[in-house]
Amino acid sequence: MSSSELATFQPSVPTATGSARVSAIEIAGLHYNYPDGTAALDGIELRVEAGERVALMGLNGAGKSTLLMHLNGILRGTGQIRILGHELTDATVGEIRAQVGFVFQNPDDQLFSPSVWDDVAYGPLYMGLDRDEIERRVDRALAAVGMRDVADKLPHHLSLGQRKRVSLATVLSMEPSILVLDEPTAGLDPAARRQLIELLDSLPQTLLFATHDMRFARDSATRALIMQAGRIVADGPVAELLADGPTLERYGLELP
Amino acid sequence: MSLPAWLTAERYQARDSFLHRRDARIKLVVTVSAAFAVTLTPEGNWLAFGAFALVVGAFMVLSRLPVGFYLRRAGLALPFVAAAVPLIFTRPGETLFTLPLFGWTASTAGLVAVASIVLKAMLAVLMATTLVGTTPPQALLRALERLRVPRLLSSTIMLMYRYLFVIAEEGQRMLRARESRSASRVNLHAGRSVGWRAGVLGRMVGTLFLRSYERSERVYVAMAARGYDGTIRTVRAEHSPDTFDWLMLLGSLSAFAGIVVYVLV
Ligand SMILES: Nc1ncnc2c1ncn2[C@@H]1O[C@H](COP(=O)(O)OP(=O)(O)O)[C@@H](O)[C@H]1O
Ligand SMILES: [Mg+2]
Repeated sequence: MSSSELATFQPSVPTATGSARVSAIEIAGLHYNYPDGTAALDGIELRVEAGERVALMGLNGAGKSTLLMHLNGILRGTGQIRILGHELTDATVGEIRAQVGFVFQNPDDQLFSPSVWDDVAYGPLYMGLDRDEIERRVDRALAAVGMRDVADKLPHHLSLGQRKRVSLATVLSMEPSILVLDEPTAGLDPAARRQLIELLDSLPQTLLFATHDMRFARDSATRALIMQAGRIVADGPVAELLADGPTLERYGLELP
Repeated sequence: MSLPAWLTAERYQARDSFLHRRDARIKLVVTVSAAFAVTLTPEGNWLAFGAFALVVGAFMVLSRLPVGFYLRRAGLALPFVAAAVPLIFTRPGETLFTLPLFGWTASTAGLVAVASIVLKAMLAVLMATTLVGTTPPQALLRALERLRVPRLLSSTIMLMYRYLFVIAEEGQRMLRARESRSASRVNLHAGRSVGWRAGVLGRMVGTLFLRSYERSERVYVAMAARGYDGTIRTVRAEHSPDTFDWLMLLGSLSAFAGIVVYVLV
């Protein structure tokens, strides 16, 4: 990529005058190596403003999941992460988890309780909310994803589409201000995919999702990032980035 | 996500040494005989334990496995061995010392018993560690079959080895999911109570069991669909013992027999 091309994909840094409000996510110099030595993140710089809807693209192994798992402290690399202005540290990780709802790619990694209701209630229960508030939140979260009637079922007996929606409910019940989703539409049939996308579009949260689904990125995101080998190599408004054939091709991506 | 590397012995099995090259059946027989011989040796036979230690030490040197690997494995066995410690106080015999506060008396006979049990256990564990560190699991399982260990047992062990890691990783992912949603709010007490958290963990174990059980049924159906009848077949080239293997077998068995006979007669 030439330097002029790169310039069009620079993150939209707020101007000094308009930066009174804090960014939803700020990451500086983030590096992470897996215990076996794989350098999965190699200097991530990223700023996401409140209300943005960001699609994270890139081939398998680019480091998308690894990056996302840093946002609520599941993985801890070196570098700085700020969520809503608060630096992520051992002391703040608990409160940051209340603000960042993380949905794993595989619902079986997300759901660990014997019933759907228990799983959706886990977050609010752990936070120490009172009984009425918990029931209200679980009910709202299940209603939001259209899964109220499976509340008493075993999570792993649901279809993949249902499990994906229940996974989302388990973090919605915590009422986070940022949602982080790893490949939310992967493996879904067209109807389940459509339902999930409509659901995500209706949510008010700041959104950051990894995806290979270019139509989903185009229709639901306002901004797109491309990762390669542990770095963010392109960043810009989704319409511009997806219209840039040569850049997409360079990183192995293609339009539907 | 993977298990801690120190839990598996794979990277040690891939090394090379005199012992790595030996026939798995021979190693298995030698290891089991060593364990029997050490167990047969009566308590307090320090000379015999010393002789066993020399043999076990020789195998450890021949394996060229790092000392750290042996120490970690021996460490895993320690909690079980610790169960023998109360014997110091329960064996009747000449008083060694009295525990202040409790007033329990330790006996010399008790000390001898505990020391012997710890020694026996450690010698057996070090021998087993040598076997496991120098033999890949497939070779070990094949050795069990060729030694005519009942098929049900060998195929159960094989499937257990295959799925142990799958299940352990599944458990780790469940713990990660729980951690990911264990959040706190200012002015609220996070984590409720120890009892509540224990209840959650208990239900997670239940869920893991249920998932594993259902997985086992799916695996069985898939295997049966491909003609599984209880035998694990292989077309890999079969090993046959060479001169070194026979020499090692003869040498070790006579050493163990010699020590045991010397002690018992
Ligand atoms: N648990 C792990 N241990 C070692 N390496 C890993 C692990 N998870 C992922 N990796 C490696 O880290 C890199 C980034 O992986 P990941 O973040 O999963 O990529 P993506 O989500 O973009 O497909 C890849 O090279 C992958 O092989
Ligand atoms: Mg991924």
